[in-house]
Amino acid sequence: MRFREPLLGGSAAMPGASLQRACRLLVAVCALHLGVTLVYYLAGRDLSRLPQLVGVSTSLQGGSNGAAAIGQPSGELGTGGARPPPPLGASSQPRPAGDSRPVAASGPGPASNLTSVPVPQTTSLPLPACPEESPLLVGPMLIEFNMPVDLELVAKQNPNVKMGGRYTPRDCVSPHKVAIIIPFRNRQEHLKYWLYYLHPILQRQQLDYGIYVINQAGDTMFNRAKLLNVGFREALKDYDYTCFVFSDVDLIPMNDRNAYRCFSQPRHISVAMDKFGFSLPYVQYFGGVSALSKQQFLTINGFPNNYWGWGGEDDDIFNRLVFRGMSISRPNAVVGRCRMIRHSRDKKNEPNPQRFDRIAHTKETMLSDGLNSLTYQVLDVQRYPLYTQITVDIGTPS
Amino acid sequence: MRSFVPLFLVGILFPAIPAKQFTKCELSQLLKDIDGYGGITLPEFICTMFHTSGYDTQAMVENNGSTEYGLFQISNKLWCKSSQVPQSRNICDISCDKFLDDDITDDIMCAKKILDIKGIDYW
Repeated sequence: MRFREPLLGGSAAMPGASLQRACRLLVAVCALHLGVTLVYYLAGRDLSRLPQLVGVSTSLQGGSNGAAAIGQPSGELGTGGARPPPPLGASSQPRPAGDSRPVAASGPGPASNLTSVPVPQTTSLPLPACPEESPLLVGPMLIEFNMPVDLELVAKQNPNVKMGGRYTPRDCVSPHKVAIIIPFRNRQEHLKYWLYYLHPILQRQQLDYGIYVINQAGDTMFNRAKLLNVGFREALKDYDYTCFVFSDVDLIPMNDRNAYRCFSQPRHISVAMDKFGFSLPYVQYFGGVSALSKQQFLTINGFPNNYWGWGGEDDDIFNRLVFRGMSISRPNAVVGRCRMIRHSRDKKNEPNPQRFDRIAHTKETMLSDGLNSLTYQVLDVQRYPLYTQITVDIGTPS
Repeated sequence: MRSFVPLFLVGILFPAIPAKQFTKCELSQLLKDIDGYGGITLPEFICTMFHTSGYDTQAMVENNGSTEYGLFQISNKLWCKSSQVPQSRNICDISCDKFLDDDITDDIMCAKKILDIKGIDYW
């Protein structure tokens, strides 16, 4: 583009003047374009969710957004459980205003013994089912591990999470009753990051969830799978969970569209870890974070109890699923991106040299090694604001 | 004065020696030499080494009184020399610690011997 000729007609002015005019015109057009783009962008965005875009939630205001978005759609949310008048006796829905459950179950209309707190309209009506996909999700998030985490502050930032790390959506009934089981020993710093990032995400996913940290007592070899078995048993003592997410303490999802709940097939959640170049290290990989429904878990006799040390137990679990006719369901590699907190190899969790032999025999061993052979002793149960910690003695390699 | 310069350079190069965690692509380049050896293709080697050592050149794992070293997890029971197993046949005629550095040419050399004598079943 040459500016020798005057663009706006008129006399043949000096090249400098027409150049100036042309530049001004260009700048004006660009500014106009940017302005129009900005208008369209702002019109389409919900700015109140800006803090969540960086993986942090100050105080969760998702409730009102969620309710507004759910509205009263006609047919699609008609899951049997939510529509008819109070079936809520089955699921526990503790009301913040202190209503007890019998109040909700006693019939429609404002109940007589409501508290003096101005009643939100939802207490007298049955709650709708939560939508298939939560409207609160933000997608990709920024995950970093370079700042210190104060769990008291995290608890304040997540006021709707109840003692023991329990949360139930306030404005809708979630079909996903999820116990999140974390095998643990001596990783308090990692746990802090996990809680900091995951609580906001899990709430945005509108899950009815509880966090269980299963802490292996003693100094013998670490046994991840057995701890997960214990988590399954112990979580069920608290609540009728129907779904179990098994997560390593050092894995954080980078996209909240990666659902931490169960599917019709066993679900692999940590499919694209930064440690493996954001891809699956091998197609049968089932480690890191996974989700099994209660039925899927029972079908495979739970997890093996005999994998002491690092490695192999996730491959054994994969084998169990395949031998029972199941397959692995996964999100795509973009949604499935995860960050792992870098750390050196733990002591007493060295690679298990027997793992290759063991995974060659899953078909036989799964019959006798699993839930049906699980023995352990609970030493301590602690209810913290953001999680429940169960310290357990799982014995030693036999 | 001039003699201090190489000394200085050596000094700053020292920390660069330990701990190499290869990526799949880096390792593929380095293992071209072993591609097809003993009838095992390069992808098969890459896959096997992932499960064996996770591409960690410093991997050192105890296994029932013997220890396995490096990328290929070569055992001191038979193949290399270490103080833990003094009666080792030391077939590769090398000290096991040499398998823990970044230079994997000696690891490859010994892996070839293992393939000759025992085959891929070693892994």
